[in-house]
Amino acid sequence: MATTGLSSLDHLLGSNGYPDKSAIMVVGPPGIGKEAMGYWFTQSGLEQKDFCLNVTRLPTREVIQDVKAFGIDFTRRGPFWFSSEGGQLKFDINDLSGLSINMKEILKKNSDRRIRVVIDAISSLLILNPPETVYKFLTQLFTAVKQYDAVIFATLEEGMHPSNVLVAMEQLFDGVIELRLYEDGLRVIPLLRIRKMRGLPPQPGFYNFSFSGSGMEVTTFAR
Amino acid sequence: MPDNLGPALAALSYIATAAVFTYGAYWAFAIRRVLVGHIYRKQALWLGALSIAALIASDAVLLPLSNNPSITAIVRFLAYGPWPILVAFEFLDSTIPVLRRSDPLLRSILHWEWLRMMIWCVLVFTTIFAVYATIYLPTCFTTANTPACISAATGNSVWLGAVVGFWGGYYWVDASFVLILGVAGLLIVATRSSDRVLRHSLKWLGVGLLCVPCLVLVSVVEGIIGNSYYDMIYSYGIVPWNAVAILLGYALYRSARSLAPLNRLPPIDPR
Repeated sequence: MATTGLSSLDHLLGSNGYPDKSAIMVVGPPGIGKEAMGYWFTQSGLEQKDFCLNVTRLPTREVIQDVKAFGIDFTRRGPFWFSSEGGQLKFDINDLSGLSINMKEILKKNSDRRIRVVIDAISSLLILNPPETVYKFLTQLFTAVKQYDAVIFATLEEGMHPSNVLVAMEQLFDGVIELRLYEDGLRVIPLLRIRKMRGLPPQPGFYNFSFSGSGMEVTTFAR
Repeated sequence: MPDNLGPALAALSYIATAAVFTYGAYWAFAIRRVLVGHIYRKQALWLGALSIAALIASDAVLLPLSNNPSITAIVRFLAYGPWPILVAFEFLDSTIPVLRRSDPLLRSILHWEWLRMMIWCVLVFTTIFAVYATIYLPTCFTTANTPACISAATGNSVWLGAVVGFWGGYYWVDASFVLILGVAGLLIVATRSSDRVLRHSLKWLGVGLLCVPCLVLVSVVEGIIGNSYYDMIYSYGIVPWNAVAILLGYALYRSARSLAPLNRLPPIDPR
């Protein structure tokens, strides 16, 4: 199991985090905290000396700036960056085959360690490519990654893609966590739901969540 | 029309305007509270700030206009001074990075990194002059007569005349500059962004921006038909102006609400 870096979420997932050799997707609207979950996942991996790969469509400095807001500092000890600017490898969003080859090579080189991969570019890939192409790319990538002791964490923007594309993407992943905002009178309530998670029975419940400098708090939602 | 109906209608329109801007600001801050991404939080914060700025600017005329020129100048400065432009531009400046991130190819918008520095220099420079003019030439704000003000100021000093002249031109030039850039930025991002949520928010923001020239147009029309400034603000003459202001408030409210899609509360947990 790969710890999420968030003790309350680990507890929710059965105390140990995401299943081994799994692909996890977090879906929700922009700015709700999907990427933050990825930052803590990476931070937790770095603490455990795992090999951490961050695949991002943003320049590295922008991500590092975002990360600092959560009390995490990647400047001293950071992941391997596969980013549009400032990373060890340049991420070209129009070059899916290059992306696939590079990722497989990096994973092969680090196959003696536990691997964590965080990807925030799937929505952009889906916008610039036909969904079938992205689906095929991810299927091949997951097959390759699962040969190693690796966990993939990906984020997907809600509201950017048609519902059939979202459903197709969900089927690819072993675990899907949904973050959404709900309206209750004059209040806005952020709720989390585990739509599916390999090794866990279906969970119909909703959970309140909030972020602080020390992490994410998850509590059972009650009206 | 009965004599007391005008002030009553004006009062009602002021209350409605204040209510819409306040409601919009409330939702912007409520959404900001639950968002985590700092650029989206900043965006929500500025939508709230813009609502509050519009609230103050639209209702500052209700502050008592005393015979003291300094107090009147401050009141007019609050209503029409450079600060709404500063707020509007800071809002634009914080919005552009959000917009850029919604473009999958992260293309630059109008070379913003350079452009923003240039605009900020102009804004800061002219604001210093505007504040100076407000403090030392309060008469300009009580008479609202720019030619007379320039004439009075140049009688004392050439420098003061220059300051007032600059101030007279400042407002319209800067306001137009900021608005043109805002609309241009929105149009560019609308063609590049694939984020439906953001597009929806921008659509309402665009409606709000269109309201600003409409407000100016209403003021001009009121002036042409003979309603002076002081007659207008306490009578039915203000109602059309406030109607457009309400539309502006509603557009800002919808823009804030669109920033994060809100769902209906799920049914009670079956466990």
